[in-house]
Formats: sequence, C-alpha cells, structure tokens
Amino acid sequence: MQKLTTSPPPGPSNAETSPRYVRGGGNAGLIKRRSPRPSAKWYVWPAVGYVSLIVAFPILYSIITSMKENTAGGLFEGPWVGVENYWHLLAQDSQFHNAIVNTLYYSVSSVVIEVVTGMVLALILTQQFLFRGIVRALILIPFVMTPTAAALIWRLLMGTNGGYFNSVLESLGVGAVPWLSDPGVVIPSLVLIDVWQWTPFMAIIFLAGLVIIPEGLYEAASIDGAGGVRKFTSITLPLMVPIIVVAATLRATDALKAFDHIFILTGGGPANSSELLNIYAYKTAFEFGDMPYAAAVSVTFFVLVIAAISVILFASRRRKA
Amino acid sequence: MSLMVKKVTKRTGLYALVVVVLVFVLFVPFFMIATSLKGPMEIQQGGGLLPQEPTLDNFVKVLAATELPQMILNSLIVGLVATGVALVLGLPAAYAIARYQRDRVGTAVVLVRAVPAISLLVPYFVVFANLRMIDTYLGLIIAHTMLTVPLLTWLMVGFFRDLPSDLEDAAYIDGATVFRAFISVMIPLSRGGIAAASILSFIFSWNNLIFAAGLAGSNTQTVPLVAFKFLSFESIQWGPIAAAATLVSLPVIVLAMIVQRQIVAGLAGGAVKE
Repeated sequence: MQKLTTSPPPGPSNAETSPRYVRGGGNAGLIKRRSPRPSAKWYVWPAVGYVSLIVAFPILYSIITSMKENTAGGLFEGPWVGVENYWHLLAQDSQFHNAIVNTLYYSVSSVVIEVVTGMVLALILTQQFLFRGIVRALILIPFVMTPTAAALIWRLLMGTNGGYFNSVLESLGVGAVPWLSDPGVVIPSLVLIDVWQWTPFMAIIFLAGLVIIPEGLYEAASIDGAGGVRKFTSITLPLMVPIIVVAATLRATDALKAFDHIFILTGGGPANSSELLNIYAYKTAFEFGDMPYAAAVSVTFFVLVIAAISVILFASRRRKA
Repeated sequence: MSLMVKKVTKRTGLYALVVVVLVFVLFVPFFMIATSLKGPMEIQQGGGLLPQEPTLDNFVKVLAATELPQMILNSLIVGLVATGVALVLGLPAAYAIARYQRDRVGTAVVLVRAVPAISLLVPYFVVFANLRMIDTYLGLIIAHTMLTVPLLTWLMVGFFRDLPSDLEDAAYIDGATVFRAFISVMIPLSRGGIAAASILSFIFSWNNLIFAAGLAGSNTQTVPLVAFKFLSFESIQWGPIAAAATLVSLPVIVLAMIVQRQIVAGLAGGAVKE
C-alpha cells in the first residue's frame, strides 16, 4: 500500500484561504492553481436519503392516518374522515388546549432560566481557580445522566410524603412543599429538574463564545473606568447575542418535546396540570389506543414546533438587521 | 491593605460559587449512589446522607428481581448498531458538509431534530405493527438512528471544519482519491472527535425512553424501561430504586467522563459554528 508521507506545503492552513493563484507561467506571473480536490459532494446522499426515508415517510403516513377514523379493524380499514380529527382537536379538545398551555409554560420558563443560569455558570468557568478542569468535566454529568434514572432519584427527593427534600425542610421548621402533588407547583418543579439537566449544556456553549472575546476590549474598558457589570452589559452581552440565540433555539427545540422525566414523575398529573403535548400524544396513542387521533395530535405538534422555531429565528434576524 | 482584602473577598466569593455549582451538579448522583448502598433499616431510620453500613444488597435485589441484565444487553445492541449506522452515514456526510460547503444539507440534517419523537413514534408503531416489527431489534434500531445520525453528523461537521486541509491537499497532489484522503487522512486525524461523537450518540440512544416505551416488548426492553417497575405507589423502596438508577446511569456517566474534553469541544464547536 502506498504510504502518504509528503510533508504539507507551507502556507495558510485553511481550505478557504488556500491560495488559488500561485506564481508561474504566463498571465503576468499568476496562474490559477487547479484545485486538486476532486468532488465528493455526493457523500451526503446516503445520509440524506436514509434520513428522508425514515422521517418523511412516517410523517406522510401520519398525515394519512390522521384523516381516518379509528376502528378496531386496523388502520387501513377505517373510513376517510378528512380533517375532522383536526377540527375536533383545535376547536373542541380542551385537553389539547391545556397541553399547549402547559407546554408553552414549561418550555419558555426552562429556556429563559437556562440562558441565565448557563451564562452565570459559563462566567464562573472563565475564572481561574483550582481544579477548574475537573469541575468543567463534572458539569457534564446532569447532561448525560439517563433522564429516567435521574427522574427516579428526583422522585425520592421530591416525593411529597417522606421525600428527602421535604423531610429536610420539615426538620428545619420550614414545612413541606407539595413539589409534585400540587397543580400550581408541579410545572415549576419539573422546570427545576430541566434546569438542573440542561444548564451545563448552555454553559458549555456560552463558554466557547466567551473565550473568543478579546481581552483587549475589557482592558480598554477598564482604562475608561468601567466596572465589572458595565463591562458585562456593554461588551460581553452584545457580542454573545448570536450565540445566545443559537443556544436558546437548540434548547427550545428539545424543551418543547420534553417527555422522560415528566412521564416518570407525574404521568401528566395531577389532574393533567403537567400534561405536555408529548405526553398527551403518547397517551392518546398508547393508553386510549386511538391511533388516528394520536396521529393528528403528533402532526399538529410537529407543525407547532416548526412554527415556534421559525418565530425565534425570525425574531433574531430582525434584531440583527 | 484594602486592595488585598478586596482580592481575598473576591477569591472567597468565587470559591463559594464553585462549591454551590458542585453541590448543584453533584447532589443528585451523590444521593443516588449513597442511597443505593444503604440497607432497608438505615433508610427507615432516616439518618444522614451517607450510609453507615454500606451494603450491596440493593444491587443484588435489582439484578435478580428485574430483567435488568437482559435490558442492558438490549440497550447495548441497539445503541451500538444505531451508532454504527450513524458513523457509516454521518462521517461521509459531515465530510462533504464541512469541506464542500453543503451547508443547506447540513441545516436540513439538523432540522430533523425538530421533529418530535412522538410524531415519528406513532407512524413507526403503526407500520412496525403491520410488519410484525414491534419488539424487534430492527424496529428499535431504526427509530434510534433518528437520534444518532443527525447528532453525530452535526458534531462531526464541527470537528472536520477545525482540521486544516493541508494534509489532504498533499494527499491529492500525490494522486489520492477522495476516498483515500478521507480514510487515510481525515479519519485518523479526527479520532478524538469521532470517539466523542460516537460515545455521545450511544449515550443518547441508551438514555432514550420514548421509543422504547412504544416499540419495545418483553424481548427487547431497553434500560430506561426499568423505571416502570418502581412506579407503584404502594411502597417506595428507596434502596432498590437508587440501585436501579445507579446501574442504569453509571455506565454512561463513566463513558462521558472518559471523553469529556472532546464532548465539550464537540458541543461547543457544533453550536458556535452555526
């Protein structure tokens, strides 16, 4: 086998800045260097083809299924009812409306809080302190820990009777909190778990953005007499806005689809107060067994997620302009 | 003197914050492991966080009474194959996106993440049920590739973009084909990134609950489903629950710590380069 042992030619080390024009031949000393790189654009096709198949086909199938009525005979047996399921869903299904409200409450709270806590954590991690490397490694744990396992532990912690948090609170004289049993408290508790899990993710992204900001900017500001807060609001924040938008969008796409810990801890309760769209769709499919209706819910859900992301992206573009 | 006091206060404040961060991050796993080592008597009595007489009874109970060993095997099979598929499809795709500016394709692959799992789960369930693919590895693997392929591609685009193209150019001058350059230059150079991206994909597959809840049966239950065995409200058995949680999550935590530096680089790179 031929071994590739040539040392690379000196010059800029980036595909975008490799010189296209080099000295030699006619043309006033410059010839266009023929790009030695053969095309491999088709390398994306296997992945794109596979993913399209695995995504587009089910979505289409979902749409077709959602337009039929639920029968026991099997999905292709049912009569065609067109958009009746959607009509019922949007106009009459109060449980669906409740799920939308819950989903928005949960996602907006999570993303907003996580932007703040993520930024705080990132700022802490830019400082020098002992064992910083180890701390940076450890913060990954909430992010990779199996959400189901974490949910089991949160159950031990947040259980209303005899949960660890409440027994500590009671021994301190503060009194128990109905973390998961009170409809008004349950979504904030679930948001707390979400914040625990995802703040490190946000912090890692923000950290990457923070280290890029040149020290010189801060020094110049110090000379002008700016204090820490002023430096943050006038230098750091404006420069971080694009990254905050990216992180918030990434986070929002997942927050809207939250499922694991909610399903394990509350199953949507108490009294549907924590039933998010994902859970509602799942229950419709697998507990009520109404596949066509569940298909309608999941298609609508998909459209809503796309719409939400588009809104975020649109709002951020306008701000840039 | 006052400047010195200011400095000391700042340092103390910083370390205090670091401690808060560590408590916030580590309390849950710490509580999990500590509780898993406590016997039932200790748990009854309340007591402090740490077990006075550590015991492995809970682990024995969980491994014997649930089908956890089989579930671990199932999760391994599904995760490894789904990650393998992601590598075969995603590495070339990421290469093309990074080196040939196929950015719109890159965006499309990432947008796939916007599809809620339930929107896929319902049709998958219907189709697989008709094809008798419920409770099969194949069905679960197909579903899991929806997690692994976009994630791995997204991460690898960031890693590939970071690599200078000098060595590849040198290879082309030597007359190598794209395939040779890809296999002999890019892949060895990005070993770290590939390891991190693969491990992160595997972790997401391992952790996934919703596809397992819908598509797995008694033969193919994956690890997160063990939670359902502990959800009865009659008696909450702290020790076994904590032991189960430990068995479920410790493997992925350990895996993540091994490649943590690359994971952080990958996540940051993938996001910041958008």
